[in-house]
Formats: sequence, C-alpha cells, structure tokens
Amino acid sequence: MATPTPLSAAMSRALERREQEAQTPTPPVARHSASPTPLPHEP
Amino acid sequence: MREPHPVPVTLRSTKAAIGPEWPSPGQPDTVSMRNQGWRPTPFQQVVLKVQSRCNLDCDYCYVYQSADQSWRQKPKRLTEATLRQIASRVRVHALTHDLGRIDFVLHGGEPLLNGREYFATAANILRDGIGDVAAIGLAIQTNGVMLDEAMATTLLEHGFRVGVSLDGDQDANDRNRKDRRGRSSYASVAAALRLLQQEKYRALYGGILSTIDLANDPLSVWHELSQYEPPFVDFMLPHGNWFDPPPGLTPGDNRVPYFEWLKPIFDIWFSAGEQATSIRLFSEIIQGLLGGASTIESVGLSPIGSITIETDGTLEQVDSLKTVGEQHPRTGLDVFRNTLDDALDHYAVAARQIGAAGLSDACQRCHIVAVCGGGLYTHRYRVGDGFKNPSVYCADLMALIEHIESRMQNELRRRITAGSSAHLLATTR
Repeated sequence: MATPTPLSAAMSRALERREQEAQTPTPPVARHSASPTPLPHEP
Repeated sequence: MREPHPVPVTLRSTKAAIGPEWPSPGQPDTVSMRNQGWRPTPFQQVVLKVQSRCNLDCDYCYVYQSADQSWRQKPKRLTEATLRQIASRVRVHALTHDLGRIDFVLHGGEPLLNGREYFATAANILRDGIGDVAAIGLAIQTNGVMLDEAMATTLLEHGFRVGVSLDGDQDANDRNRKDRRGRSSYASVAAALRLLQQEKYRALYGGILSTIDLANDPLSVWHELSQYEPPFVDFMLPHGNWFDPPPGLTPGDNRVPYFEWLKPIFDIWFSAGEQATSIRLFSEIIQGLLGGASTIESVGLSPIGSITIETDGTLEQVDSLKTVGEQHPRTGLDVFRNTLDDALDHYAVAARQIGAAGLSDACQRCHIVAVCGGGLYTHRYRVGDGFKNPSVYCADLMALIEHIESRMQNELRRRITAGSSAHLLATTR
C-alpha cells in the first residue's frame, strides 16, 4: 500500500487549530478589525 | 458554482418613501433583546486614531478619499489627556466584563507622524491605567514610510507589534500608494519591512495588509509580500457597496474578478509543504468550513468585538464605514460622556454582534452563511435599505469559499480515507 502523502502545511495547521479550539473551552470568539493585533490563535 | 444572491435591483431615490435604513434606532431593539436574554459581546480590541493626518495620499484611502470628510474637523492627534480618559473607560470595561486582555491598535492617518516619544508615553498611559486589571496588547498599523531603526527600537522597547501596508512590488504599490506630490513610497516601505525581518526586530513584526488592485498581477504581489517573511498577510477587498461598487465590479453580472485574482495565490499558498506566512482571509474561511469561528471582520458570524476611538474621543463603529457616508461610522457617543458599555447598547454596534439575525433573508438562507457571514459589513450597504443586503462581493466570496472547500475536500480525500477530520469536514455542511 502506498504511503499517504502528507497534508499541506495550511491544511495541517487548520486541522490542528480546529481540534484545539473544539477541545478547549474558551470565551466567545469576537472578530477583530484588520490589524496587526495577533488573533487569538496566533502566537 | 452556485448562483450568488440576486442583486438588489433598485437604487431608490427617496429614503422617506420606504422607511429608515437598517439598522436604525430600535432596529435591532437591544432593550427587547436584553429582556430575552441576549447579551452583547464586550469590546476586546480598541482601535485608537492617534493621528488624523497622513504623509501619503493613497487613491483608495477611506479616510481622505471617501464620502466622509470629517477628518478635516478632527484634532490632528489624540492628546495625552484624551488617552488617559480612554484608559479609564477601558479599565472599567475590562473590570465589568472580567476581560483578561485588551488589544489596542494605534491607527491613523499615519500614526508614526506622532514621533517616537508619543508611543513611549501612550504605552505607559495605557499600561499604568489598565495593566493591573487586564493584559494589554499594543499594535500599530503604519504605511511604513517613517519606520526607521530609532522608531523600531522605541516601539520594541514598549512591546508594540507593527503592521505595514504594502500592495506589491514597486509598480503595484505605486499604482495607489504615493505621497501628495505623486512620489513613490515603495523604497522606504521596503526598507522598513527589511528592518522588521531582522532578528533584532522580529518580535515587532505583526504582518502586512495589502489592498487588492485587479490591475496588479496576483502572483507577483504574493511573491513580493512573501519575500519579507511576514507572520501574516491580510488581503483587503477594496471598499465599495451596491450604490458605489468597488473597482472592476459590476454588481449582478456574475463575473468574479476578485475571486479570479485571489485563486492563484490561494492555490500556491494552500499547496505549500512549508508555510511561514498565514493569509488570514484564507485561514479564517478554512476554519469556517471546518465548523470553527472566524476572528476577522471580513468573514464569519461571530460578534464584532472592536470599537474605534477618534482623535477627539468620539466612539465610532469602524472606520471603513466612512466610505458609505459621514453619518455611518458615528455612534453619537464619546469617552468623556459615555462608557464603552453605552456603545455596546448602540443599535448599530449590536447589529454587528447578532450573527445571522443581522443579515439579509437571502444570506440567512444561503448554504455558506456560517462561513461568509455576509462578508464585510461595509460592503453590504445599499441606499434605501441600509446594511441588510448580501455583500457587493457576494459572487466573489461564494466562488472563493466553494473553491477553498473543494481544495480542502480533495486534500483530505487524498490523505485520509476515514477519521475524525474527514468526518468533521463532512458534518459542517
């Protein structure tokens, strides 16, 4: 059986973020204006 | 591709004949909503207009080139006294709502016109006023022209993050971003970005905001931006609405020029094996398709948690509404007479916090509403009925979201035959 090719970086990162957010109780997410403010999921 | 929503066909000439636009006082009815258990989402981001003038004269600027010319009457800079009053109001807001963090974005005009000392003072005022009750995030959005080593050192010392606006290489950037004498801003902005790339200043580097111009080649733009290794890029759709459409867009003809511009960038970005730069518009659409919540105002249904404060202390909804008209950003509130909670009860602020209930019927019935969220609020305006319309970019957003969904499905299908992630994707639709 062929070895599955790895997911793209964008997809891997998205799934990781989604699973983290789904598992971690967080305050209600609010949307920000376009700005250099780091988003809640950004380092 | 599915059909986008029907175009609102009439631009009615008399507002009085058809009643007030939406939202308007009492619509949405925040008192009734509160009685029924709705609670507003507190502000977590405060955009401070610290300077009302600019050293550039960009063609598409929503401050100087739009219907709202109120900048002419504003004080040039946000004073220390007003800043202390803002800190006092934000402190109460943080305590009232038990907020662990408040993010400030120092904005303009061009904020760096205020000089280095201003930012040291501003950081101290905000931290001294609020820091004991909530963590403070400090950011600046600049055109980059005045970002030299001395400025960068000061900003780094005081814990700022810096975002820079750049639309592409010199030809692309010069198309719209020149100074009043028509001179290019490119060389100084590129130098600023190279400064931020240095290890010494890396902690200062927020990202790049880039406004789309259809005349620019998308892959050349992406190549230019990515060479500066920004943590993120946010592509901005030029402001426009049903009454005053964006460049190159004719509402209703079902062409999707902005999707076609973004698609090659998405395809390269999404396929990359390694990725240093997040493209926020794409990342947030992907999260929406996975069933998550967006954290940027241009897509998604989560409540808007941002408020803008002008140099005179007035509270405004969001500055891009200046493109619609002078009255639209206004709340009639200011930090001297009002609390931030007063703004939370303002009908127009509430309209951007109630998710799908704040959208048009067509959007509410749409299969991608949870991902798109009707697009940027500013882009929904139509004379006569206000903001309860699909985005003027509806067709482009639909095409983009469906393309991203298709690429995600192919990617997962290629990699995963069964598992939680594939199941998660399948069950979000």
